[in-house]
Amino acid sequence: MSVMPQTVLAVSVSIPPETVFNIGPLQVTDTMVSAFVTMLALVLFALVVRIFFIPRWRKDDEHVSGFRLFIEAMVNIFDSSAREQNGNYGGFVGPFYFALAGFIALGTLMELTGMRPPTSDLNAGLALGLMSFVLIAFFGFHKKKARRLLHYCNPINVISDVVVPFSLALRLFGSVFSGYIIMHLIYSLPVYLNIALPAVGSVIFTLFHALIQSYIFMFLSMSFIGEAIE
Amino acid sequence: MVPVLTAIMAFLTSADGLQAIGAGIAGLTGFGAAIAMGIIGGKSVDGIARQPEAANKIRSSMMLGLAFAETTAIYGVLVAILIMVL
Repeated sequence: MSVMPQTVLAVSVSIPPETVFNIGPLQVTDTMVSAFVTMLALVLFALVVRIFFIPRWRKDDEHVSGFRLFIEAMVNIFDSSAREQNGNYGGFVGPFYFALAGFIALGTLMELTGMRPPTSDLNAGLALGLMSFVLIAFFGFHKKKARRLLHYCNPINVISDVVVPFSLALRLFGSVFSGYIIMHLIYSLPVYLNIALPAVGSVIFTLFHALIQSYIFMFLSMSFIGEAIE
Repeated sequence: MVPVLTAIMAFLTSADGLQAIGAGIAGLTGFGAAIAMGIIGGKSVDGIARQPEAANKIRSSMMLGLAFAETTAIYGVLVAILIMVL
């Protein structure tokens, strides 16, 4: 008898995304396609809310729907924590991280449609992390001008600043990609086992990660910016 | 019993078996992360019980600490995945 655990649960997941088609020299991968679908959905949602819902909400204050309460609660979470941690810059930081957290949450939830989520690609996490890195440096120098350079006299601070985008990217990629692999394992289980288990597994490995990772990304970036400007 | 044991030994000393052992060792990072999360949660509950009016501040720094502790566990998972997939 031979012991071959690999044949029991075969996972055909590769870390780099697969190329779907080429536009000239540009390779369009499956995560790029799902990222653009996510962005399209977010932009359409924002336009619909702005054009059709907000004018109606402004006119009448008596009838408050659940959808309105939900939107106001989400906006309030981001606005108040940005104002609390970033002071005057909260007016920019709050909406900015609302957009990024919306992208991370909806992008991770794209897994439910069967596409590979954009956040399970290291490049997406790295792009989001680099945005945070640029914002941290920009606000630090904008608030404290040249005094910010004193902060870099200590080489430990240089390392801890440079490592920020990588730690944000790897945290997002690691948690979403491990959840993606585990969901692949559950979907590829033998018959009878793959009927009810995905319903339980996707709550833990997709919905939970989507909410927790977007919150942690927003929270960590805001506190790093708060550290830079204090 | 002996053929089973020799088959298991043969698998463990093969390239695939060593890969699986390495991934298992990488998974042990969960040990440290779990201890860290337990300490963070316990201490913050301690702090909130002593001073309930500071609950919001304690909770936000608790979330920060939890995020950092969780990162080490995620790095362990990442290394295990890289060992298994690559």
